[in-house]
Amino acid sequence: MIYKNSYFRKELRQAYMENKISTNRKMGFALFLGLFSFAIYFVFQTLQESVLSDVVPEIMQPSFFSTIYLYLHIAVLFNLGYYVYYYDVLFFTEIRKNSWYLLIQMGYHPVTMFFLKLFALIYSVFLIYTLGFAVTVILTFLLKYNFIAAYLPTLYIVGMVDLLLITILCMTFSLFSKTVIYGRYWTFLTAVMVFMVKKVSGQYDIISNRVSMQNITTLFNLELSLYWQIVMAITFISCLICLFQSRNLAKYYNFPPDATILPEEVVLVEIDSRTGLRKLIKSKVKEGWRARIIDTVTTAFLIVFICAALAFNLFIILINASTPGQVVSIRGVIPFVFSSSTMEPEIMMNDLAYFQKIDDQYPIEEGQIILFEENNVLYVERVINKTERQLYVDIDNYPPLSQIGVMKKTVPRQAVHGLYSGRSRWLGALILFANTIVGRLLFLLVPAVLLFYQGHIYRYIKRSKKVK
Amino acid sequence: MEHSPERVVLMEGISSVEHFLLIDDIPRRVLGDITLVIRRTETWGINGTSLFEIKLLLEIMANIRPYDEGKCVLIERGMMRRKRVILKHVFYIGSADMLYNNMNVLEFLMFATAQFKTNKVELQEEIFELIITVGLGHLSLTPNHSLTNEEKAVIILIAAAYSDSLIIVFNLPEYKWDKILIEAISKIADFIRERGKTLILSTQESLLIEKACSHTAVIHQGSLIYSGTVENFRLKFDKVEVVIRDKSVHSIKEKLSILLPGYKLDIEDDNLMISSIGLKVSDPSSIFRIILESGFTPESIEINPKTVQNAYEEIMRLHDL
Repeated sequence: MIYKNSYFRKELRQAYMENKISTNRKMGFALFLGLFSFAIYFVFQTLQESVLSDVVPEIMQPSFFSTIYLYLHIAVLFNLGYYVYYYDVLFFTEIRKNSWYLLIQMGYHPVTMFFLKLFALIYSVFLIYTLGFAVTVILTFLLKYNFIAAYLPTLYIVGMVDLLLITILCMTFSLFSKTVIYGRYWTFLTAVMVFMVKKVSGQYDIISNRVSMQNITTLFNLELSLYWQIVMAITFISCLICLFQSRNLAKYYNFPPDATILPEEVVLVEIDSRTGLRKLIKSKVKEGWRARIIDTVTTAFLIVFICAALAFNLFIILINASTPGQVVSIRGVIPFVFSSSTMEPEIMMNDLAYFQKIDDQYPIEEGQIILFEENNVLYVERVINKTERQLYVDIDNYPPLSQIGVMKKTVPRQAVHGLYSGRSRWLGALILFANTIVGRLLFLLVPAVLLFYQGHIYRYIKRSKKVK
Repeated sequence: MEHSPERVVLMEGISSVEHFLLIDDIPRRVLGDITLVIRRTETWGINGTSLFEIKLLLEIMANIRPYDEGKCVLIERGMMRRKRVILKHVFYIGSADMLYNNMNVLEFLMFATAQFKTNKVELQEEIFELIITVGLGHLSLTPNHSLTNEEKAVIILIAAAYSDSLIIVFNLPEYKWDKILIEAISKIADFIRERGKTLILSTQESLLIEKACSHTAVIHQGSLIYSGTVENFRLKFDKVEVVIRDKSVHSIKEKLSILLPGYKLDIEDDNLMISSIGLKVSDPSSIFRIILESGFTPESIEINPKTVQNAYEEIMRLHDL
């Protein structure tokens, strides 16, 4: 076999030994993205009757728009993960490792290498994104939703441009970050920056509107958003920076950031023979503090995640433990997941409502909402009238086709457990999610596994660091 | 100093910008007043007590680290003191990370040489034969990520041998070389020499210098204490002429000290080492003759093959004293 690799082909291979493996992995990744988006869409569908339907209706609707809209965001998130994991091979770390130095000495040209690297990465992003997009559309056909082709090209362009912007920004930052770990942080920051730009420039308002997205020209309407102009400017500037900085960086030999051959306890300084000024270059004594910070942050994050997940599970257990005759209160507050639309709009379906625990003597006014018990069932209704020993209550919202007034009740004062004091829509949605299979896995199984295998995880992390 | 095109490296009174801060904050230049001349097709091995010092010397030599004082000329071209751009005529190897991990060894070498306007089939055959000749045939199809750092460095050296650069600086003194790799480097050094290039390497492995280098330089406490041919270094500083092995070396030593008044006799692990003193010309055969004529028949007696390691230890002993 005669090896005839070009720089472009080498770049297309990314981390893999063969082009075929690399292409198969990319296609597999695209398929995974499509399937995962579809799965996440179903998870969101289980939260249909929650705050999410009001806040992000664009991902909750039974339409192609919702599945694809979800895909656009999942594609960005997973591509970020891909960039972080393969940061070494995808971006300009090779210049820092002096691989370009070697190639330049062997007759390669840095400008050509820059363009080939950029095009190879864009091609890979394009391949993965397009395939994933197609998989999502095909899977959505199975749901037999009304197919509207008009917003597909617009959504496709939106997602593709986001990915291209993140890619070129990551490339630019990789030229300035001296270590891989900093480069990885920058990759995450890039996504945050792109999100902020979209939010500030009003781009999200445009792309989340499925009616306006049926017209592709809406995207470029300057009166609605300046996002596209900003994107073009950033891309152009980033390309220029990349071109000049990569060329400039490749001119020099880059020193590896280690001080392993410096004698123990020796401080190395640079002294200007003319001015006598000293500049500290390296000191072995200072080594290792960064690794310790990262260790501490990782440990703290793991502990916080495990504790938060377990505390949240405990909270859910307490809420679910509320039964007629034995209402559970936390510091005088009864949390209650409201699984009905009878008190809308004051309390929405699946909101977490808080009731202040009260005794028989506590004054209750007309118009207040109370939690009471009748025939071993807990009810939440509004007080419409009262006498000294009895309260007359009714619900706010009768569902269509139901008989008005059927829920009017007379409640003895001693049957009242609590007085409505507020609600949390997001916590309600979170509890709803925690009660789904995925939620159970995330909040109960994952922390339990982390807790049980924490020793193994630590050993694995430490071993990985040593290998690096 | 005479200037000749044969001189590829000319360092005159080079002093580094870097200083070590010693006790009481007193600075000491890492390198001071280094003068060194390296000619075309020579292979130099730079040795020394401090890895940092020898590494820094080669970094300055390759123009990737600035220097403070003196003059450095590479292939008749002066170097700017404060600029460290890549010079086309110098191929610097300072780490093993330059390789791409998604290729195997032969593939990488073909990739590195892909810009050459030669027949690819012939070139691959040639490279493959070279890998086998230097004794690394077993690595030729190994993925680069499976190689040790030392093996990677040798593969980079092969790539450098094919480059157009006239000087190859192989600056990895912190690496530990096994016998296979020393043999490989030695053969690659021959190949480099045949192509009219100069190889300069830094190492603390005396065997590597002995096998691969024609010249050596030794740095101690930031100063150059020897520069010249390896042959001269071995003969000049390895003073041990004859080694006698016997159970009763102590009694032999007593008797021989009378017979060989102009020599120094030391015992190390049942071995009696007979060394010459001063700048006396090496003459092991006369010692051998005196011993035999005196009637001693030790279990073993051999003329010491002068080694770089012994010479290095001796020169260090001289300078520490």
